[in-house]
Amino acid sequence: MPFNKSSQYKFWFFDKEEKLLEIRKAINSSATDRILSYKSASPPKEGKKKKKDRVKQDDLLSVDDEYLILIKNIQKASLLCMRFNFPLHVEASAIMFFKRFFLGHSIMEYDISKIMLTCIYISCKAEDYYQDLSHFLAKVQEVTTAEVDPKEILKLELVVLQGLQFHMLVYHPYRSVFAFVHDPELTKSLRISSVNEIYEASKLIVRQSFLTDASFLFPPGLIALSSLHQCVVDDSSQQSILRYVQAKFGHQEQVTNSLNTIANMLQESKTKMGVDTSVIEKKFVKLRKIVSNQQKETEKENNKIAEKKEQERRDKKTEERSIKEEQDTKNLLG
Amino acid sequence: MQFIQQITENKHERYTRSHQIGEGTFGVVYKGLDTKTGQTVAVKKIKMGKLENGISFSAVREIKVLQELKHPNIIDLVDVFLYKSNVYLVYEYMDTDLYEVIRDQSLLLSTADVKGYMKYILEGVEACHHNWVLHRDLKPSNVLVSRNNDVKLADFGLAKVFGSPDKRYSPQCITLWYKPPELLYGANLYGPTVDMWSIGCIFAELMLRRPFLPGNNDLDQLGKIFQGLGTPTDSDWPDMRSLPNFIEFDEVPKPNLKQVFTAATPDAIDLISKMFTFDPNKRITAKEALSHPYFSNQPKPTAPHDLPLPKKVFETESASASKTIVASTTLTVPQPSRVSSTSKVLNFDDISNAGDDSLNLSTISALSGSTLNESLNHSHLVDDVEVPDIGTPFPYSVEKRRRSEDGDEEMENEDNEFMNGERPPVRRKLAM
Repeated sequence: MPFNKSSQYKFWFFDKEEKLLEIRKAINSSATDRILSYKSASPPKEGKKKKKDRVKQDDLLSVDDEYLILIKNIQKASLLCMRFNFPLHVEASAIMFFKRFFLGHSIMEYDISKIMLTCIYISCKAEDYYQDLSHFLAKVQEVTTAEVDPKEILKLELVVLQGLQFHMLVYHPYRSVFAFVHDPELTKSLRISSVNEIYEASKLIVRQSFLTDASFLFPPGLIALSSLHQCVVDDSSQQSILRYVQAKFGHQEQVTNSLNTIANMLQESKTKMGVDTSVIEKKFVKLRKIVSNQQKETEKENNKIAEKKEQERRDKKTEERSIKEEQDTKNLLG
Repeated sequence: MQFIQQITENKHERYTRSHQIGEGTFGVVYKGLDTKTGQTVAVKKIKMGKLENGISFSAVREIKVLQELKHPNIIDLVDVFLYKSNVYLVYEYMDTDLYEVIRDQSLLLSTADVKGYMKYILEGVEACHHNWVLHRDLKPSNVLVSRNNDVKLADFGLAKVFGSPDKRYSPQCITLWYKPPELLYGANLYGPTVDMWSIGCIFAELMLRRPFLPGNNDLDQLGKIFQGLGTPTDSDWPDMRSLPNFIEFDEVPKPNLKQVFTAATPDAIDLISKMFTFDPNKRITAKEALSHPYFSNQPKPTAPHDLPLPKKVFETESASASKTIVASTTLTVPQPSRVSSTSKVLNFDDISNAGDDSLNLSTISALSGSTLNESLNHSHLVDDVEVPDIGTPFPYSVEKRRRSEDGDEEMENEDNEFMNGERPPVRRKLAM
């Protein structure tokens, strides 16, 4: 499918970095509102408990805090897929799902590790690398400390799928890198010892690009070219890549600019990954504890209401049925 | 903020639902209405139930592929949404399928009509292949036809995005009768030409008005193929001996296809023989087939809106009002969608004589003898992981029998709120 006809292009592609920021701000503020406006349905028994349940403005995460924690977790997701020995396309889609989901949702309102595992599980299905959930979770247990109830993943699967708008076809740069390094037109003019060497090196850069917003802003082919461009060090090879781009795609200036922008984004992400987030993480853990309690409470309430409704409905049904039967009997006799 | 609007839209309010129209491989299908566009739609509720692995692999495939593929000859997935822990797929509404067209004896399919159907099917398949999608389950019941005579491919539950250089595929796909010899021989590296063999089978079925190669199991299917088309020689198909499950068959000379398809024109014979080329690498592609002289020669393919359709398509409205008519006219032989099936065709009179109440699977299997049971047990679709339900694919070659009253109501109530639709008529019978 051509990229510009894909759901990725139509729905998950933005022309400006500012738009992403705008969305993140809106998502952050609506989550903040929801959390702050939470009121427990059951009246607090003691003063102690009340204090614990409340979220103060200071406890909340800012847009930047959210982003820092998110990219640390993206890296974790990448590592997890590597430990599982999953193919690159499974990893790439899982991470894309993860990033897409948290573009539309705040990490304050979801269990980020469980969403991550769910994204990986969905990716296994979407990328034809299917395995049973129990098998998958056994693997998770092998390599992580996570304790996961399969039911939670099943519940989150639907939540995540909805958050992804059920878009499951992902265009990722790994594939484009593979295609480029196997194009002799390009590789013949590069000063490299082997195709495999440059392929491996570019793959690492692609993996780093996952920690940036590049996938929301640039087509995978460009990210792939940027990766190649960044792993060749000598000028002449870099020039050949640009010439190849020129011959193949035209608009050299625009493409060169994009390659640079992507390279800059990578640098920035490295700086961000270096930021000490221990304080934010502590805050996040504390916040999540309270919010998940709130959510559990709300869910319980909702279930109660639903149960009540269901009971009422059943009662009504039984009543209706007995009336109907009575009538039927009457009709029959009459 | 279009993005945020889209992710927060309450889609279930947009569609209303009326009665159930069938049961597909992985869900119950209702007829409905898109209140935003006024378009009639088919709403499929995906079976979730007690699945311990969550949403099924086939559903994921179908959604993944159909979210991307948009073409006049491919079913349009209008929407997908979640409502109360159930996933709903909204499709454009299609009235019937090619299986119904072929087996409706009152319909006359002219050379031009066959050509028309073939053309539109091939255009759909070409669009799939062009977009790196293998359908892997082409057969008449997966070719849908609507009242305005659009012809569209459906059921992408087995579809696969191909093109990755290192991927091995499962040979366990495609319904037996439409399966190419390389898959029967266990090939796990294959490409778009597997679909072309299936198209050849559909072409043959359109001309013969019965399945061309109805085998009972993999081995029997190979036998049927070689009886029908002769055994391949090493020069026909150099790689065949290296396939995992290769078996040598007694040599059968190649028959003259002209004698099999007596009414076919020479260009039709040429095209079908190119679809039935044994070597998958030499088999005709969808693109090549579309530029075959068959389509440019006289008579011209029938235009979509002139294609003949079963009469009952126009009667469905009144038919659904009367339960007895529904039961006796639209219940079709459950040609098990992804299992080998019996070659014995069920006599329709037997079914209608069986009466409304007793019409269920056991009656049908009793009527058709043990072969159906055997075939039900013998699934040919263990694709990678799962055995899909035995049933007919979406939308509805089988008008589903209403379940027992209680089960039925349970099912309806679950999503009664959903789409504020009217309740389907409960077909209760008065106990006498």
